[in-house]
Amino acid sequence: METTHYATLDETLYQQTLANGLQVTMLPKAGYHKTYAVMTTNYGSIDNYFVPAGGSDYTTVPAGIAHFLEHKMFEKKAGDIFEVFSRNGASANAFTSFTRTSYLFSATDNIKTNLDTLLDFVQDPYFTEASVNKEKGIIGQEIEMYEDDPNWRLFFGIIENLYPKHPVHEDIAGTIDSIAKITPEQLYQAYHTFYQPSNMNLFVVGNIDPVETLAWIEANQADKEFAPATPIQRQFPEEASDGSDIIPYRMTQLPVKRGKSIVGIKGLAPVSRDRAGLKYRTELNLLFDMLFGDSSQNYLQLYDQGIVDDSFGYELDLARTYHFATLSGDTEKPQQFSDAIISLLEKASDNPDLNANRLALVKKEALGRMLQSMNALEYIANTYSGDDFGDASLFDLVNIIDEITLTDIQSVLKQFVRSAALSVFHIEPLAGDDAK
Amino acid sequence: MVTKKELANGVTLTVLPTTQFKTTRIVLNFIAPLAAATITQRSLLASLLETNSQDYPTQADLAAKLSALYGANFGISVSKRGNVHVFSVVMTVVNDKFLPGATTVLTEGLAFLKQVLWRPNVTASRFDAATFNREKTNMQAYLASVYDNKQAYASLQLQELYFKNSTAQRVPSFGNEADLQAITASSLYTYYQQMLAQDQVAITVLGDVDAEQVTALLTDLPLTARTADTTDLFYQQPAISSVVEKTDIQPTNQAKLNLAYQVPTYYYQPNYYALLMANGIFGGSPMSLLFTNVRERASLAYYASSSYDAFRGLITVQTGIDAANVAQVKQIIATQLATLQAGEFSNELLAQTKATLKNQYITGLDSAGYLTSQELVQQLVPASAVATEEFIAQLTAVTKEQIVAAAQTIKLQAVYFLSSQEAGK
Repeated sequence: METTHYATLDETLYQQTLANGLQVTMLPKAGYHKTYAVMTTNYGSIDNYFVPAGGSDYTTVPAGIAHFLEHKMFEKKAGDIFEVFSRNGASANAFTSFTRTSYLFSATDNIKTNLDTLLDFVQDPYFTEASVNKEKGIIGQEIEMYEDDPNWRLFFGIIENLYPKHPVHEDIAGTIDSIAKITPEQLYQAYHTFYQPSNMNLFVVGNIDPVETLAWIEANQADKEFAPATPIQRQFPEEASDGSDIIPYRMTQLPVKRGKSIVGIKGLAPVSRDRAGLKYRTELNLLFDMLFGDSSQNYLQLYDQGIVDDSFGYELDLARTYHFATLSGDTEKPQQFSDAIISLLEKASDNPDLNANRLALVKKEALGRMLQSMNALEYIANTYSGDDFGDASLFDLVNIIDEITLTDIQSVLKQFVRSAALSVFHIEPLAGDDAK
Repeated sequence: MVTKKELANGVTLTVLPTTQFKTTRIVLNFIAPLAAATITQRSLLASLLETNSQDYPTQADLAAKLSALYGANFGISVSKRGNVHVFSVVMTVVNDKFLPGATTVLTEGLAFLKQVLWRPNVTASRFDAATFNREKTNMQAYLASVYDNKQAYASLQLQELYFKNSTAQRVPSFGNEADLQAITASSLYTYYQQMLAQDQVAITVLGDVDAEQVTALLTDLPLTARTADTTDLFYQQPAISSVVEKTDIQPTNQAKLNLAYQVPTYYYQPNYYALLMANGIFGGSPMSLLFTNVRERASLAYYASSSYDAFRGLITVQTGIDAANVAQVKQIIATQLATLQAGEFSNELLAQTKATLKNQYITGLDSAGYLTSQELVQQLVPASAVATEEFIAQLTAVTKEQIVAAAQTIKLQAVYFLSSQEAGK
């Protein structure tokens, strides 16, 4: 087992790739009562065009299938897996993102039994016509719930602008129409293609002994037969590398009280899946902290002018095959908001907030936040298994943050923030909607 | 060892030493009787005090100080607990031992709290006009936007419907638009002085700290003696015999059906464990009757759950459904309650619910936020200061008969339905 000690964080990570290819990572946390385990496949909502395991031709599947599969994994011939976890005092859940599907439990007792349950249910698909059809009503309501969330609509509004072809613009859960087409056969096909142990990882954090825990996991896996690993082949529609296919602006009217504005920036160059990629993401995060963070003069001016309020936020989404940044907020004047943000972005290289003192300040803050996040077992596990930077992980952030210079920030600004990569999406209240 | 100290009449300090976390969490709770007239003022105060102060005249100055303290977290939240309103000032700092070089983040963090709370941005007994006006405008916009969050909106409307007898319970913990209008920069400062002087104060520090050093630093805060508050924490209202119902129609995709039930059982009072179990079986756990029957069997909802407010004797049910199915969903919910009250649930479900509640309780011990809020609640309700083993023993001892008896006290009082008409997609 490979052991890495991170002195600044005072944490030790244990890692082993099993014979079947499953990558196991463990982080013991003394003093904690619970254990949190998350099993993740490198497969998400964007993976809709692929060569099925054992096949040779590409196939297209309905949007929302990865999320649908996640829901249906919990139902077995013998009953509901939530029941098995509940009986053993575990609280279980799952989530699907653009590029990942994760299954998890948190428990303070019966850890071996709960780990067996997790591994067994994720490695034993069971889909029937009746159970698949029944799920359509439930997921249909989930889709309707998100449809009513204006922040969700705003987020997808900008992604649709930035990625007119790439399936990242499709809702993770799909649509009522797309899920209507899903069949048990398609679920099995996706399962056998993407749930191979060599495409998965298991992260266990908490009150554990890593040697004992690994022995449990190895024994569980040794009892099962797995088909030989097959390479995963998936493709994505090509998007213009100069940003020329980005839709620069759209708006929609919704029955809301307050308007919203979002500015998106599309990363036009691919990001490497290694330490350099993680450093690039960290540089971008520090860049936005410097330009738009709470302590920036830019934010202060926007706030004092009433252009932004506490609902203002920015985030960077970076994963397999895409990356983009968004800056958004609630506002009575969406146009004023996006104009102000774009004006700051386009002149950012001369912005007084981009100076060495501020870089030192946001680096201090980033280091402190990193240390604080070590309290949150779920955050550590989900971030670790969600990221895709080869041997580099969030545990390397202490050193990466330390290395970053003002020159790095200036250069990442130039590379990422380009006028051709910008887009705007607005939500305005329905005209005449004076709903009480 | 836990240290408890009364710094002055009505001002307590609790130090909870632990090496479990890499941070130190400091919470100053200001506790006042819940009153309609002050809820909105307290909410606006939270925004103002978070924004700037005499020593940090702009937000950028204040935020820069927090960044310099290695990303210290500082925030003020407001909440209701039964008949009291809690104004919680929270700061989290990284323990100095993990930081490079010789730092004094904890000492500076405490000094920062003293500055922002006792040297607010005030001149001539009024909050700074520009700051006040901006925060008031922002709060007004925020309050209006609650309409855009349908789950929150439906739950507030249900409260409005249920708390017929109490204006204070009807006002959301974060205030309302009507009360906001009347607040001025000077009236708010006057109220703030009153809050600092009269609220009960409960301070908790959690982390790997030297209790004596922390006590010395906090004794320095200008918190003078105050009269004890005799408010009865638990809110009660007479049950009504006919259920109140209200339906609103809005242009949404999903309709919301929320129900309120009265229970005569309060936090760590007689029958508490049995009611906790009854709620868990009804809709408060992953395999509950509501989840299984509304979602898994009938496929009518994505979420269908219940929650128990043990300070107000209230259980609420929340679901998101198709408007056309409302009668069927109501029927299923009523059947599940009847099933529970008739004891027609499996021993398996009973055992699962116990295991789930036990796991939830112990899991809470891994959260610094949960531990400090538990400390506050234990001060408010001394009966709740039980050891983990005691909680588990009491929970384990609950019998099916006790659960059924507790379930039979659950009485439907109010139904709020936010119906939908198709929104423009």
